[in-house]
Amino acid sequence: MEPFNTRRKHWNLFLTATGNLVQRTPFRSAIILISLLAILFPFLTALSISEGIKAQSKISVEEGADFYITGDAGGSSAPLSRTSIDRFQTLPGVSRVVPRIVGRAYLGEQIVTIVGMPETLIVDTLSLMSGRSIQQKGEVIVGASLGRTYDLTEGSRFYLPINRWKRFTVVGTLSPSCTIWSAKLIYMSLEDAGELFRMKDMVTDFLIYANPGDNPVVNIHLQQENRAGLPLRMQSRELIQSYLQKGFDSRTGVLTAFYIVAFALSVPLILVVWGLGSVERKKEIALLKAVGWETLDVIEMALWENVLLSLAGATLAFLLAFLWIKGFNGFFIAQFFLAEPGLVPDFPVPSRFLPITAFMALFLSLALTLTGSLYYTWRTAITPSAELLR
Amino acid sequence: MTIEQGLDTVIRAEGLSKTFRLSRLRKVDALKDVTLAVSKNEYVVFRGPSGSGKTTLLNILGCLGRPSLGRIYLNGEDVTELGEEELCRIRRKNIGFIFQGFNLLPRMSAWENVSIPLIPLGVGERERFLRACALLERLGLQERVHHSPEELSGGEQQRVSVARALINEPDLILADEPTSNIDSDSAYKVLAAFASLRAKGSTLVVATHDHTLFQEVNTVYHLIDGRITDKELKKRP
Amino acid sequence: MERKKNKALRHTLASSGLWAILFLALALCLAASFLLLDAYKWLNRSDEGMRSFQRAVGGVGMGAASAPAWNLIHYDPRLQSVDDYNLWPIVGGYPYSPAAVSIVILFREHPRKDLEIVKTDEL
Repeated sequence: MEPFNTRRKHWNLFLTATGNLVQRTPFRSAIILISLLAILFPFLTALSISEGIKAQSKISVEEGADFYITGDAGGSSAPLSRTSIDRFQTLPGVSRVVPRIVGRAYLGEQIVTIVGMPETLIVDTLSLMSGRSIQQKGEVIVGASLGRTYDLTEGSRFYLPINRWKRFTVVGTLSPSCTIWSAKLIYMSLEDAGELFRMKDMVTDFLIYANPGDNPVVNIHLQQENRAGLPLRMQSRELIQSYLQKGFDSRTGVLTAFYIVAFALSVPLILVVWGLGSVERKKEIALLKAVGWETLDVIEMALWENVLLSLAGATLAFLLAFLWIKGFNGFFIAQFFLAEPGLVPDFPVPSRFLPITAFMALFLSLALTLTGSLYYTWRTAITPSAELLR
Repeated sequence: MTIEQGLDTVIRAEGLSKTFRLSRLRKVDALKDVTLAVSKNEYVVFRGPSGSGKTTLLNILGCLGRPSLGRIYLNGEDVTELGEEELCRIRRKNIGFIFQGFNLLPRMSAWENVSIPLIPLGVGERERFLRACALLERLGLQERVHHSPEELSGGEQQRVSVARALINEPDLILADEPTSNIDSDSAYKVLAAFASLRAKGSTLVVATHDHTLFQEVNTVYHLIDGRITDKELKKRP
Repeated sequence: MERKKNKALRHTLASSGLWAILFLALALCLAASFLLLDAYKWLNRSDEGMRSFQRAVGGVGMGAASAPAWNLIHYDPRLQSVDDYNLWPIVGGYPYSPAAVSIVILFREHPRKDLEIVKTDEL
C-alpha cells in the first residue's frame, strides 16, 4: 500500500482535470468556453464603457465650476441677463464668475452643442488635433467628429441654419481625446454665441468659482440671493457629484442585474452542454469511486475543471473585450451601449477596465460553470458504484 | 448457518440478501441468505448460470454495493454499516476489482487507465507511468501503453483492466468473468497473472463459467437464483 | 528498451495538458498587464487633454451619451432642469450631448441636407 502524499494528490487531481478538459473532452470544453465568452464579452464591454463614461463625467464635474446658476422660469431653465453677474461677483468667497452660453443647433442633420465662453477666458491649452485657438470674432473650434463628418478643416466657413446671417470660420479641430462630449461641439466666443442665438446681453448660465474652502459660504449667500431676487436654479459641485455617483452606481447595478438575469438564462445552456456525455461522466465517476477515489477527490477534480474553464473563459473574455474596445474602438458592439455611434464610432469610445470588473466576470463565470455541475458530480459520487456501473 | 471466523479469514459473509426494487410493486431478490467465508491466499470461484447473483455477490464482497440484509466482515472488521468514504478507503487499500465489462475510461490511454487508483494517493506522474508500464509489460501489452481502449481488442482491454486492479498490490482480488469474451492468448496471460498473485499470497475470488479457471481453485460455490446450493472443496489453500 | 521507455515518458509528460496551463498563465499575465496599463493611463494624468477641454468649456457633459436610456445619467443637470427622457415628448427639451436619444424636438429651423459650407479657396 502506498504512503499518502497529500500535496502531490492535489497536484495530480489538478493535472487530471486539465487533461480531462484539454485532451479527453476538448469539444465540450470548447463549447463551454465559447458560451462563457459569448456571455462575458458583452458584459465586460458594457461595464468598461460605463466606467469610461463615468471617469470622463467625473473629469467634467471636477474641472467645472463650483456652482452653476441659471434662471428658473416655471421649472425650466431660462437665460439670465449678463449684467446680473454683479449679483454674484460681489458675494463673499467668490473667486470669479464666468458667463456662458450653452445651446444646441442643427448642423446638417446632426444636433451639435454650442459653447460660448468669454474671450478673455478662451484658453490656448485646449487639446487640438489641428489648427489654433480662437483669436478673432467669428472663429470657432469644432469637434473631431463634426470635422470629419462635414470635412470642416481650418479655413472652412459655414453657417448654422438657426441663424443664416452668422458666419463662422473654422480655425481648429478638437482632439478626439477631449471626452466624448467634444465630438459634436462647436466652441466659440460668448459674443458669437449670443449673436447666433439672438441672445444679446444674455447668458444661459453663470459659472461661479469659489475661493478654496469657501464653498459653504458661497452656498449660503447664493441661497440668500435666490430668495431675494429673481428665481434662480442653482447646482453645486457636491450635488452634481452625488448625482453622478448615484446615477452610475444605479446604472452599474442595473447593468449587473440585467446580466445576472442573462446569466440565469444561460445556466440551462451550460447544463445542456455539461449534459453532453453525462452518461459517460456518470460511469467515469462510478469507476473512480470503485477503484478507491473518495467523494472529495472526485469533487476536487470537478472543481478544478470548473475553475480552469471559468478562469480561461473570464480571461479570454477580458482580453477580447480589451482588444475590441482599445484596438477596434468597439466596432459594432459600442452602439449597444453608446447612443448614436453607429457601427463604427467616429470618436474614441471611452472605456476603463477595472480589476473589480475582471473579478466580477470571473465570479459570474464560476457561478455559471459550478451551477449544476458540482451538485451533479456530488450526487453521482455518493451513489454506490455498483448501481451506476450496471 | 454460521461460519467460524478463523485467524486467516479474509472475507466472511453471514445471511447476505440483496433485493433490487424495480418499481413500487416489482422487486428482484438477487441474493438470498448467502453465507460463506474466504481464507487468506484462498482461490474461490462462484459458479452459476446467468442471473444467479454472482456479480451482485461479488459487488457486495468488494464493498461496491450494500446488502439489504446480513453482515459482511473484511479481515475481521464489520463493514456492513460503514460509510461510503470508509468503504472507498478499504477498496483502495485492500481490494482490486476486475469488472466484467472492462469499464475502462474511453478517453484515457491504457497506462492512464491502469494508474487511475494511484492518482489520489499522490503518486507522481512519472512513477505512475513506470509502474503501469511494468504491469502492462507483464501482461504482454508493452506496445499498447499509449493506446486508448477503442484501439485495443477485447482481450487487451481485459488485460488493462487486470493491470488496473493489481496496481495497488491488493491483498484481495475480485474478478467478474475475467476471461469471458477474450482470446485464448489474453486468457492465458490473465491466468498467469493470477497465478503470480497467488504465489505472493493474495486472495482471489472469481465469478466465472470458464473451466480453465478451475485448475488451481480451492473452493467452488454454486449459485442458483441467488442462493448457494453447493460448496465444493477442491484443494486446500 | 530504456531509450524507448524514456521517449514514451517524455511524450506522456508533454501531453499532460501542462501546455494548456502555460497558455492560461500567459493569458492571465497579459490580462493583468492590460489592467495595469489602463490603470496607469488613467492615474498618470494622461487625461490632461480631457481636463483642459472641460476647463475651457466650464464642464459640459455627464452621461447623456449612453444607452440604454433607462438610467439616471441621461442628461447634464447643470444645464437642464429636467431629464427630457422622463418628459418625452416635450417640445423644447434637448440634451447637451452628442447623442440625441429619442427626443422629439420641434426646432425652429429644419434640418437640411444641403450644407452651406464654404472652403477658403472657394471664396
